[in-house]
Amino acid sequence: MGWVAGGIGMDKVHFGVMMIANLEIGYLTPPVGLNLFVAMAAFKEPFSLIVRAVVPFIIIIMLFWLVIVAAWPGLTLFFVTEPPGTGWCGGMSALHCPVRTGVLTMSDLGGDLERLAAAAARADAHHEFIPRITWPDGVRMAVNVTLDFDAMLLRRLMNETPSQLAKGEFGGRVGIWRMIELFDSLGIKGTVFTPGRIVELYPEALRHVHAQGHEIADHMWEHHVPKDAALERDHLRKAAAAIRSITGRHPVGTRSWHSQALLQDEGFIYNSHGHAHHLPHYHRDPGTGKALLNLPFHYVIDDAMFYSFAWLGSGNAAQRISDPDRVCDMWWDAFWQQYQQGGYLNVVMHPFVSGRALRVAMMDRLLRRMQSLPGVWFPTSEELARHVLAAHPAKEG
Amino acid sequence: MPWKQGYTVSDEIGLRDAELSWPAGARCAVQVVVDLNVASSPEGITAKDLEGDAAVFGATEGLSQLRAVLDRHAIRATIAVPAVLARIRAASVRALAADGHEIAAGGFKGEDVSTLARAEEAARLDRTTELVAEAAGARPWGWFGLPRQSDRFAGGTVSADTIDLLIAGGYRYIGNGLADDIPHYWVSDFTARRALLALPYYYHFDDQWFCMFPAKGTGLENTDMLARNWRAEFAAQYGRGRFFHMVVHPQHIGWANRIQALDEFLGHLRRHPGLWVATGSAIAAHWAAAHPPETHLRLAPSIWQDHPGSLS
Repeated sequence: MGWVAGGIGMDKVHFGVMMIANLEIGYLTPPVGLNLFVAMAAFKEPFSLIVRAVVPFIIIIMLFWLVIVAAWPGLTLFFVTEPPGTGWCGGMSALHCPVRTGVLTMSDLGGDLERLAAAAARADAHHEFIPRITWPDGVRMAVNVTLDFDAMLLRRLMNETPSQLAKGEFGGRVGIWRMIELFDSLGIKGTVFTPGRIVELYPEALRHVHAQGHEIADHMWEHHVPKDAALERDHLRKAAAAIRSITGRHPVGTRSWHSQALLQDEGFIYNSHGHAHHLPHYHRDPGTGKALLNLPFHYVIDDAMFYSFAWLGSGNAAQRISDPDRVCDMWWDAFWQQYQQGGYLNVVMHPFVSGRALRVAMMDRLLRRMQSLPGVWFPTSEELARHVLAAHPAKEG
Repeated sequence: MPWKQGYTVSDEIGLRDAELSWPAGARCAVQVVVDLNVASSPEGITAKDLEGDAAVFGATEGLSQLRAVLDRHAIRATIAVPAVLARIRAASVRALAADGHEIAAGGFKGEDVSTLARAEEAARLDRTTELVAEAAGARPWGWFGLPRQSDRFAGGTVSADTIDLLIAGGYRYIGNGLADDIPHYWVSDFTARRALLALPYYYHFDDQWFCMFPAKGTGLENTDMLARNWRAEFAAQYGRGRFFHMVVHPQHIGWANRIQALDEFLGHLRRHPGLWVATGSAIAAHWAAAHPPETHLRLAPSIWQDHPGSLS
């Protein structure tokens, strides 16, 4: 019966315990439960009395035992499974955990193989890579310098302290201006991914970004995507309207977790997140079959990883905060590796982080060094996206 | 919603390099802060904290090493002193004041004020002012709520009432400003334009995040990174004609290799002409004269709107 349990997605041990529980109820249920007759014979009482006496217990068993055992698999599987890090011995080392996974279960090896193969196939079908990317004439490598201009919004969303908000506020008051000044001094075009709310907080800065010819793209209305589909669409439209109020046109790019179908429905031509490949590639939506261009970035080339205290929940004894010399070397190595291959690099910076004077100086050094090599192209993300869409369109969905 | 209350503490655009001026035509201002807080948790300094080797070292040899280095480079620092230590280590506080350093308040016992009721915070603030004044011989003009090594965020401790209470308590600045790298105004009431001067703090220039060893369970000895951050920020801010600040703790920076790094850095800094090395009060006085809030706090009306299904 293992395949029945597997088929309905139930653990086999849990299924077995449920089956025994149901059988036991059957043995006690009038008028033909076998144990009623056993009790009648053993206690020498009339059948009707046994039936009346057993009814409350059946109700108790059905209401409590059956419901609890069915709804709470963890109770049955207490000594059987150990979900990683969350079980009763989660956090203990293997040596201290007295019961190990798999002692009582028989692995369904064939089923494992099928499920894993299906997952890999789904991931493969989701990604469509561009094996030999070509750039416009004279270009050897493309670099997108991108700013996630979220200032204090994420801190506010997570309800953090006034100091945390002020740390982000630096990005709006000071950092964004310095980053644009840096790009302009080098003749580089950047892309500013901004939440809609930030447009309301720092309209002057964003007007300046636009006036200097940099791209403004979406970074979610409030730096998160609501679960409710109607509200999600409402948020995306609010964010696009906020950007339109600055640029006069609908944004075509986003760095977000919005559903792909919604993004394509709302006229977006690229997203920029994830790192399944160094090069721009396509994500195919399994529902619509449509492909959306992705401009990937890696956390290694993200300033917050090295400069922002407690980023992604890192504990104090495991701080990653570093210094600009070290980061400059790391990012140069990444650039140089891609330069040799004629590839792509997306440099992700936050104005509240990279807008600090010591880091502006570092980026000035790094970008000048990149520019000293022939054939390095610094387009906006939109410009790069339009090139890739034209030169390397996705296969027909 | 009036203005951007709950999101921002200051105005929309900070002062540009060209708008700044320093006394006597100096090119760049420098502030060195020494934080005497030894608290290991949000409740502030405990008996156990004071009995630990780090606190004992910081109060004795660590502090002597630090005083000698500051003296060698003619640095007048601003010392953030928790009130309890002003009483317990009164002789050290008097000696620091006699060296020419400014004595500022570092909370009642370096605790987290963000969870206190307003009346409780006000009472602690008043008592702190008294105790620090008693030890230093003059009332403190500056207030520091700097973070502790165990804090979840490295921004320091400020409640929704702190700025208002500090203004009421006669303070002239708070040393917890993260919204700029120069002095700036921290607004407690946007409608009334009620604001206190904030002097910059940034954790990348604070020794405690790079010199965590031997705090239990860490091996985080990154004094080299700290020194590179100091050098890089100083070079950049000196070039821009702005402001350089750093924070050190005697129990951390006082130890052999670290005090050597500080000595070398301050020597490097001192080789630059045109520095104005000043204490918090001197900076606040200059700022009030050169960049007063009437002309330099630029509050524009907010275009923020409340929407259903959105943050307000």
